[in-house]
Amino acid sequence: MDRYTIHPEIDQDSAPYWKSLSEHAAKMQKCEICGEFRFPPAPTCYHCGKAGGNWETISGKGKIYSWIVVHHPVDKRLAEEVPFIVALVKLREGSRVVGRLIGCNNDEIKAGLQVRAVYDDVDSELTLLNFEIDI
Amino acid sequence: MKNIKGAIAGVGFTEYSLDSGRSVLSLAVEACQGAMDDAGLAPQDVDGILEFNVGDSVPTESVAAGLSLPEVNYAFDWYGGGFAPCALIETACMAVESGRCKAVLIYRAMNGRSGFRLGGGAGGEAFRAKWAGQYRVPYGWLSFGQNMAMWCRRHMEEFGTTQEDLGAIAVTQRENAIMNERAILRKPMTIDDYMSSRVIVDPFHLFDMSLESDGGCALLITSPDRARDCNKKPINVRASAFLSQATVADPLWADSFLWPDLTENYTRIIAPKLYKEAAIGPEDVDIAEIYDCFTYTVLMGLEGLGFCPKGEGGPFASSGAIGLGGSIPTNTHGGMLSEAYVHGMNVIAEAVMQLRGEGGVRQVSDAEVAVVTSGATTIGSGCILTV
Ligand SMILES: [Zn+2]
Repeated sequence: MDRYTIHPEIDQDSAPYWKSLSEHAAKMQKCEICGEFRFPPAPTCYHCGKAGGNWETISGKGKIYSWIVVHHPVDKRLAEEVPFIVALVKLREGSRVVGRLIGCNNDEIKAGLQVRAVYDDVDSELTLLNFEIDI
Repeated sequence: MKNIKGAIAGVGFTEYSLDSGRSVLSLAVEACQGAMDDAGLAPQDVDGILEFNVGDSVPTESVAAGLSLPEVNYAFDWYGGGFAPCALIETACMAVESGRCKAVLIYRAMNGRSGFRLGGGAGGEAFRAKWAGQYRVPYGWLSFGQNMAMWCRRHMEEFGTTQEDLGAIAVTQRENAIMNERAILRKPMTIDDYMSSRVIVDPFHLFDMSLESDGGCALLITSPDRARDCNKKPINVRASAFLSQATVADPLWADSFLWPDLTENYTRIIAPKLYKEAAIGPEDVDIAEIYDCFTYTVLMGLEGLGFCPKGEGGPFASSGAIGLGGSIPTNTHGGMLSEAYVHGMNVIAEAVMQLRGEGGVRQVSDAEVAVVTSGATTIGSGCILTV
């Protein structure tokens, strides 16, 4: 694909997450102490402050928490993609993640709508996590 | 005097414009000189200087040199956004109260339209796909306007807040700007003009977003005792609070991942602290100058500061309550939506002008107590100011 995407500046904390997307099986850290999932990836748990945690595959299912429809691209290189929908999704595991919402129109969307993960292989280096309505 | 943390003795402005044609240094020095002249203080009377920036301003030492301050006992440059102004007032009050400084200048100066455009997204360091930005920027979520639109949508979904409610905030503030000779946008605007304006990032239209502008604004803080000997009626800082919430974003960004509820911001948390310290309640407040980088931050502020119940900010704004003749006149200068974007400093300056009775044709009669805020989302500060 030759569409323009700003690539993430992957760091030591985030590398396992991005790798899991490229394998089409998103993983997030689950705290061994309190049992909570966390996102974004981090060395310590946001809920109890303890270090560590295991990378576990998530369901990829969740509900729309909020969304925007981008009309002004901000970055000119995205001008051919607008309008597009960006959603903030509350995952079944409890964390919020961001993804494009694909295959639907603005007037179909409501907060609380069920969505599921769709993997978007942008190029050989990057896979993004998008969502579609899960009926 | 008990319960007075410090006093605002001077206010200074440059002209607000879309293209100053001048250096940021000259804007900063002019604004600070204006605040000193307003108070009637000379360089030897001022020995503290504070500012905030996002890499787009000039350092305190340079401005102190430009003002020929002979001795600076405290200076502080803060890399930060709109959450800073009230927090800097608090810092200046502490510097004065502790005896470190006699009088402290606070300024924000920027060529925000002709130079570094903060709202422009992909150009700046703050908008790179690093840190928490790496989970957002690759999806095309680049600007702070998009961020606030995401927050706003949740409020609309949960409480039925309408586009017209947001428009009422923009239209009300424009009415105020028309009466303000400093304001950049003074063309009358109806709700129809608002509704038909360009959609930038749904749910935000063009007029939900603040201006980008060039200019400088400064405040001069001193002790209540010293302030009594200055030119103008002192404006007392009765309460201050600052919330710097744990966040996974970088300091310029709101945290949309961990902050539990995007229908409310830091005002919900600092308001009880402010009212307790000032020993008043929201019913005692005469005017509200609420940080308004976007219409929606005004709405969250009205609710968070207790002027209306949670969820009812939309109908409250539409009712006329926030107009000059309403129950809580808000952003009486037009705010950053219509006056100018000086990163919240001009929002506080207006509170001082109103409390002094220098509001001109937009003066709110008998304005004696003001609440002012700085910041949009998870990090923010506020003060209660009185005559
Ligand atoms: Zn934990």
